[in-house]
Amino acid sequence: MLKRVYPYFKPYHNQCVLALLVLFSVHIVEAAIPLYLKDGIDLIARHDTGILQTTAAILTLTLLRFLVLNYGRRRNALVSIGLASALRRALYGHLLTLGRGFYAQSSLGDLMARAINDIAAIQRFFRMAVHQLVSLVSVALIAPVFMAQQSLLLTLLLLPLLIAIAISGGYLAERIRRASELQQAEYGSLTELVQQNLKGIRTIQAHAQEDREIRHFADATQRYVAANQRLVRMNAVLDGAMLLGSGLMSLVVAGVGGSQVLNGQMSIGALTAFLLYLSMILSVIRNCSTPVYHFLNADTAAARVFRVMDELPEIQDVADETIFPASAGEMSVYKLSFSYADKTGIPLPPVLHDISLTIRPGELVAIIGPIGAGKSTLLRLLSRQLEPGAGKICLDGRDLKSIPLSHLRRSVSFVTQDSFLFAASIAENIAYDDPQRPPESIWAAADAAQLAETINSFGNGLSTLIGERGVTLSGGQKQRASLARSLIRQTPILLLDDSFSALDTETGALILAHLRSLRHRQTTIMVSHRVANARYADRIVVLEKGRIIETGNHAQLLAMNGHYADLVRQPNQPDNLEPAI
Amino acid sequence: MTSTNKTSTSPRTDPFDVASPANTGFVRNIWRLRRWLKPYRWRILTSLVFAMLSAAAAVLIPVVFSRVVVDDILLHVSNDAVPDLGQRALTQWLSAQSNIQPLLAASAIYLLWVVLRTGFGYIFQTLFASAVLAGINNLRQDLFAHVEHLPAAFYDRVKVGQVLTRVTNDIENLSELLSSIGVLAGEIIPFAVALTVMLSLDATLTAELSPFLLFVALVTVGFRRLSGPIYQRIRETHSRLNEHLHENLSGIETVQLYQRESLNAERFATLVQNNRIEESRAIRIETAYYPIIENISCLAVASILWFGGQHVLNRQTTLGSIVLFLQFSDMLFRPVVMLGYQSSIIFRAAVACELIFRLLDWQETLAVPSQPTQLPSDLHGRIEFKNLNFRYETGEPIIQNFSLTIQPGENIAIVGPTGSGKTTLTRLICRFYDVPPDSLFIDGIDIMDIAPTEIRKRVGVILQDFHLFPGSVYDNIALGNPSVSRADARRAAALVQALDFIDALPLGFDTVLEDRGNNLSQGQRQLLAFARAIALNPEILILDEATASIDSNTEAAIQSALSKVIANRTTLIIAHRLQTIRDADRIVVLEHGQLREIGKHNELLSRNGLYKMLYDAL
Repeated sequence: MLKRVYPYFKPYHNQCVLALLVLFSVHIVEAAIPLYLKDGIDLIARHDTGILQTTAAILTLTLLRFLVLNYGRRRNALVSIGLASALRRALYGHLLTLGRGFYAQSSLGDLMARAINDIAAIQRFFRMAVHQLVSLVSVALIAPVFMAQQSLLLTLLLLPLLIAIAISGGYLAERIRRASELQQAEYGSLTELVQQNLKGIRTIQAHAQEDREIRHFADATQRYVAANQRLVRMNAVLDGAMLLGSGLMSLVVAGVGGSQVLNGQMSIGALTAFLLYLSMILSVIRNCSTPVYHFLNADTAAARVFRVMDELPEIQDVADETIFPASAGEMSVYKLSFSYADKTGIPLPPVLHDISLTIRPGELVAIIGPIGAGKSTLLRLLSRQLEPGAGKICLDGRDLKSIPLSHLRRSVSFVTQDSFLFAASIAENIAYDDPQRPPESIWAAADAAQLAETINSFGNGLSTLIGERGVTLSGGQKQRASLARSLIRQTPILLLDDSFSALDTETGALILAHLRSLRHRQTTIMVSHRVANARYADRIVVLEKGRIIETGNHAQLLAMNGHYADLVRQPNQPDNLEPAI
Repeated sequence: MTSTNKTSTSPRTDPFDVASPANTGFVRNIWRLRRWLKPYRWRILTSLVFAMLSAAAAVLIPVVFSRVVVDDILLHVSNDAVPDLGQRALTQWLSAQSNIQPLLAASAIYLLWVVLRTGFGYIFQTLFASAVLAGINNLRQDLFAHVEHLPAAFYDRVKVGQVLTRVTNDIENLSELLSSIGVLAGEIIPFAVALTVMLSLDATLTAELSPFLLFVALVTVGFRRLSGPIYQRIRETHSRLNEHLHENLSGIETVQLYQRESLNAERFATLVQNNRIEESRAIRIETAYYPIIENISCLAVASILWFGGQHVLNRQTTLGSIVLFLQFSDMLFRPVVMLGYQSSIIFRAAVACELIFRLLDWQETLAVPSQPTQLPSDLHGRIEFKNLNFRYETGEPIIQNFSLTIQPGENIAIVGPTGSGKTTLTRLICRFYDVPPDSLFIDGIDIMDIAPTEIRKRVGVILQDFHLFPGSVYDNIALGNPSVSRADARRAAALVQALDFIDALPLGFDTVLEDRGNNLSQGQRQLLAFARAIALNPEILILDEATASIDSNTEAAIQSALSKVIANRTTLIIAHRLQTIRDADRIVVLEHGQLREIGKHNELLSRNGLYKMLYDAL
């Protein structure tokens, strides 16, 4: 999957190749140093005085090595961070286009992990693994050549030993990787356990179950400690293997090389140089499995990132450059049916059946009905967050599917049930669609939503921060703020999804009464659980089990003596009473 | 850190108060850790002995190579004035004893040291780590046990996430600290041994190399100074990114409905760019520092060659010494680099340590009577509130002058607007908080004279956010109480009509609840909570009715279970469902913590007061 990163990598392609070439050359420079050391040692052994040149040569090579390393690594790292930034922007841009169905099926934590951790894994691969791979390959290619120049016999003797060390090192590193995954998993379950426990601490204490939970926790920590100890042991074994390997190799150098020196086949300087080559090889062998590890991680990470990137937006926008005139505010629904799908994509029983309804410009329509009647679904369809299963929805007589989303969003404002606010100032939250709005219009909207007094009661007025780093709003205040955020847009159509549920009856009624005068000639469609709110409407639509069972105004419906009349007279709908009672 | 016990008047500081910085002393905190490490002190001491043995062997390896092999065997320049730590004598002895060539004897001794070094090093690493892991784990368990017993008032104030961080993340940091002390010991002991040997072999050459040590130390300190603030800014820009993502993905519906996509994408790009700038700064520093460190050994090679060469020419030292120094140079510089690397771990751990102890020292308990009164074995279940006043530690009065006598077996429904004190009232009976004396009685006994655990064992509670425990269905009903037999559990389940679904589970009562009951529906979990609450047949039952929407079948099942559960039992229900309210013997209407109205449904309706208003608002 990692190859799919390529389009994002492309702008950096040349830079990266250059960086890697430079990093390759590091090892040529490095390999030359032992040669001069050899000369130096041999000069000293002969009690020659010419070591100034060799010392100077080593110093020069060291400086060169530093410069080359510095340049190569910097370039390489900058490429990786540039790539990660590009990937993050692209992923976020794509996430912004995805719809309800996608978000319903994905967990927020998982999406964040993809945008942050998975992209970081890809970045690590480009920064660490590529570099290590280059080192490994270049040392493996270069060092043996230089070694063979000093002593072919010794090189041939050491080669099998080296390969054995590399293989066992790789094997152990793989075991360590698995042990560390296990340790991480145990840590995860330990964290989960504590989190669940703390969330339920009241129940635990209410049932006097503390000691039992403590014992349970102790068991989990024992498992975690065991996993940790396994990991430590594996790491110690790897350390030991590497030490033993390098010890054995220098033993061969000392023994065999020593006798070669005695026979005059090799100089002492060459023997010392040999030792240096060995340590060069050992230092890369030690990490030889990390590139593989980084690659596997990055590959999985890329797969996870691109799975999101491959999701198609559920709502397909039309590319229409026509400039639409402001909407008249007429919405009509023809034979509309809809059903949600479960996680595997199989449709669930329909939520709406064959609904037809025309809402005239300027009308205030209330939709009431029990939980699960399909009220919120209908509003989501009207705002085109969902697509109709059958039938169609029109704005000013045009099918929603043929209108660009931007025009629809400008025409329809939707106050959702959960009144989600952002951790920003009150002003920013109310003028959310356009931060440039003047304070006067923000105040006007706050006023209409009965929020002005609340804002005045905060020390900093409109610039009061709300949310995590600011004041915490009550449920009712949140609802009013989210209402103000919609009212400020003065869209031809306003959809209210049970937007007064957290307000006391009086405030709700007050807002509704103002709404009428404020939004005259503009269309408002409101869903409500409270029958009391519906009486302000021009028309009341009673929805039950996805079908319209009654329509008419308050008086008409009362006269009909049907379901609505029942609700008004004897409110025993199986609705919960919270928060009114 | 001390805290005042059961103050309810002045706001207190918390163990999570960021205003008071972590500065009670790193050394003192580390010293306190000895309590948990003490059981493992012999293991730690033994491991340190092995670390020293391993270091000694590590130093002998190059001595054999340079002194014996190079000087004595290859060059025959051995000079008795130059110390060799007895290796030459050992070689000669072995060579004479077993009648083998000196080179072979030297190789054998070399091999011996290599094997010993590896073996001792392994023992040191594993022994040390196991002691640290076990010791820190004891601390973790003590910390968990401590937080588990902190009273409800504590959890009202703090965020669960903060407590979680202490028990998991911070303990982890601490464990890392102790491990890194081990790593440092593994580096510094060979360093000290090597330095001693180098000084004894050639003090002048050692002195001539010491500027490098200083250089490495300075560069490392400089790097830490420069990079510290940058790393801090990287973390900040990173959490901005995280926050933006979290917030805007949570509110994606709002983002899309208000057409904020392009503005958000722009803002995100800025955040990404800020992060990139800081990361690039760090990269520039890192790619300067690490190559310097990696080139130090090359520099050392050059200088050993230069200075050592002079010494050999002056006959002050042998070529073997130069070879020896070349091999030692790595041992000499690594500890300094490691120290720099470990310093950030140490800093993080110091903060973690402070925070952990602050929480561990946090003493907050309910006022437990010194000689608690036992509740009678056959409780009548009469509850009396007498002019009860209550407020949370920092807040407004929640319950004011509340008086009410609940007769044995009576069913009381509590209704009232949000924030009227309904939940508080039930929590007080569960004895989650201290109440003023003489204001709340169970069967005529002041609740403050009864041990809190005693009350919680005798009062059945079903909270709204009930919690299922890991374990089987039976475990969840019996909750480890030996007096709840399987038959009792079955009876309780049958009473609340949970038997059908439990028997339908793969292993019935022995089915293990996955992930705390995630394999059950919301309604089933609630029925299970009912069964648990009545398994012990408590005389008093407290119930906070769930407000979550559930389908009508489950709704009916729960309603019918409820009516069976509350029959012939003193019950206090925070009622959200109309049916529950109507079925109650009396309805208590609360507002602003005061009893406003009390009576039966019809009486209250005809009174045309608050109840009527709440009811009409439906």
